[in-house]
Amino acid sequence: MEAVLEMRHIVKRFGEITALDGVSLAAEPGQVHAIIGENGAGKSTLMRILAGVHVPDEGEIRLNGETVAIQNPKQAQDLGIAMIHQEIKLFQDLNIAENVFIRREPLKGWRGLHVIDWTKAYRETDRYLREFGLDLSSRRLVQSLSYGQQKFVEIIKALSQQARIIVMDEPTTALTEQEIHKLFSLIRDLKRRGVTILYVSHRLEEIRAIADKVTVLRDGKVVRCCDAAGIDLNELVLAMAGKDFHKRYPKMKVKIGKELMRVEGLSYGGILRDISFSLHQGEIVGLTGISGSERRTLSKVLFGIHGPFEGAIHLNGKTFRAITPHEAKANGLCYVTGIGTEEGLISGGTVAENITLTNLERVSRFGFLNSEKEAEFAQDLIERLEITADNREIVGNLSGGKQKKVIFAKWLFSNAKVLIIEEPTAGIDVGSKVDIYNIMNELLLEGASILMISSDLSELLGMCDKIMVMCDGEIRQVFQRGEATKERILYYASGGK
Amino acid sequence: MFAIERLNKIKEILYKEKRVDVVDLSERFSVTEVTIRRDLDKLEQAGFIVKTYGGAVLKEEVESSASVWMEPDDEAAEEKRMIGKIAAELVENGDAIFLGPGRTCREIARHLKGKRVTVVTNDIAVGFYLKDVNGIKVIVTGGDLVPASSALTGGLVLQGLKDIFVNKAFISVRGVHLDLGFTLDSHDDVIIAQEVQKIAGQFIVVADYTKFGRVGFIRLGDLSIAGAVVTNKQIPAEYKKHFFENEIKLFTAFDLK
Repeated sequence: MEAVLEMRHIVKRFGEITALDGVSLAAEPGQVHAIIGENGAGKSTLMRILAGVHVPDEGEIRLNGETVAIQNPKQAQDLGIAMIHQEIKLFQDLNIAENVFIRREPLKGWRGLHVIDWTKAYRETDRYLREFGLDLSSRRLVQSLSYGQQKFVEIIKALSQQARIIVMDEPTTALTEQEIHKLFSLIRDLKRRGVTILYVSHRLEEIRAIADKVTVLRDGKVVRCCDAAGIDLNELVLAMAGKDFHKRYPKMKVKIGKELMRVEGLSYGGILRDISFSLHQGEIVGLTGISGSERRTLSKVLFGIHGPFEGAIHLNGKTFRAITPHEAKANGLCYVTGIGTEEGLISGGTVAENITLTNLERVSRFGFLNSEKEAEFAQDLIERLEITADNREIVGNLSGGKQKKVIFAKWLFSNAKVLIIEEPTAGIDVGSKVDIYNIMNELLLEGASILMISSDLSELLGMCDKIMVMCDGEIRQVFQRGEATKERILYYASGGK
Repeated sequence: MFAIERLNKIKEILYKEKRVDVVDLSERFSVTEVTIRRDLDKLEQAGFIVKTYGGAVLKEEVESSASVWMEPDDEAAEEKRMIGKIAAELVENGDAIFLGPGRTCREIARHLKGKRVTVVTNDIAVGFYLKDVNGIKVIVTGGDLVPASSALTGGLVLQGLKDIFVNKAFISVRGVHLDLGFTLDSHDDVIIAQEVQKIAGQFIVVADYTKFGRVGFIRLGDLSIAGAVVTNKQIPAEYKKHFFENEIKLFTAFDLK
């Protein structure tokens, strides 16, 4: 059958980093084409190019044999490409039909004026809802719907825009078993209508259940493309993992000292279940999982951003049954967030302001901020961490690697003992990456302990003393250094038991 | 002024004046007294000084053995000290190690205190320094003393290394270059280093940041001959990238205190 979509030799670079390195992909009408790969393999970049969010540096996109240039999301929509993001993008205080038809409501002419034809909008929406066997009225407010139902509304919205290609990014995340079932029957329905679905997922079992074809991406390249029927899951895992390069990591054997933090039977809001682990001086414990594993939620609960929780956190010789970020900080815990997260940096602030933010007392006198003192401390840390920036530079203008170092500096300034470090090297250049591993070594030598949340498996294997694998809010497996392999981690992370 | 530059300046003053004063130094460098005290803490840890009320004095014993052990500060002395500290952290109890000649390797020796290790060396200064350190067994190879240094060279060094095996060997080099690899000063040095490479489980190159991009007289080999490299954070990013992508562990010191 003729391909409806062809992407040829797509290259996309972000600064020094090549996210896609000559990716080609073809999909037929009515096909569910799964795209899999580890985090950072290039899946989302490829999908964002299709959705007009990024413009490729090289390569060609063809729809029904014709070359198209997708410069922005609106153009993608006009070409019949819709994207269902992981996070719901609906207006919560509008009803279903309003969401489906927002900004392009069906119009009727009335004395030369275009007036929204709401009767038609509701009728059409109701028809879709009926066709997909959803027992909902188009006048229901979106906020009263379950997460899964909202996902269906997004798909209906895509269809009503005459989408011929629908990209679904991890669509089953946070869906119940029943909803997943319903989603799959909806996808089969879409196939019958000749709609092509690009299905981005980590969950291999799902791929076997729903996909026709599988493309495996690794380090921005296609490493495998095959039919999904009869596919060996282990083979897929191997293709995703690739060669193991953990020897390059400057892991230092630091003497493991006393316990600094212990989490006991922690559960939170039906999302996290019975989490227990402990952290010792000089130890790096890795925590990994695919999206939807709730590993970030765990770090936020530990740092007191989310709560209340059940169970206990033992920290600094005290037992906490509830914790606030202030208490966490005061007891030596810190949270080095990923770059580009809302908790990370004040991107409009200067380097100095960002660094001293966590510990203002140290640069204040009688409650007044001493900016000279602030500058001195900041400059000192800038030198120590080799940030090569001026302390008056605006953080938002720095490269990813430098931003990450500023986040580190911010916490070093507060003398933390237990560091939760999120995606320590994602999206930063190799030079800064090596620096960050050596900064972690230095922290460990000084008796700190690190909980490293990462989706970079080589990095986990290279740097950690222990690796915990999370799936659906639980710790499914714990590996000692040397026991883990990429394949074994991926197996437990994608739901294996 | 960078913290490291300031430390080196303070050392210079110490050698000249034998004693320093916190208030005086903070005025001289226009930094806070806290910063100066922190600098002095570092110098005390490194064994340069003894702190006194309001200042510090140069440690006399350091001065007395200076002729053998502590030649006057050369380039990047503070950076070499930091390399010594990190490299020593790579040494585990029970290891047998080789320490080559050179200031950076001597800095490793300084940081071995408290470990149970066997040290093989062709630098008599290393042997001299470690001779009374608890838990450390020292083997000095034979050889011809290189004039104006403490290094041993020649065929007797090779004989001394015969049938010995070490877990880790630390060798300092004159130049580190992306295309030209590691370089040393003399043909003799290369022959010894190549022999050491054969008897070592892990061949670790130590070089402060000033050695990067430089080329010495004679080539030891490609950058890929090193199992690990210990250096400073200031080296150019292209080297960090090269080592990482070629499976060579790169350790750099970050002074966070």
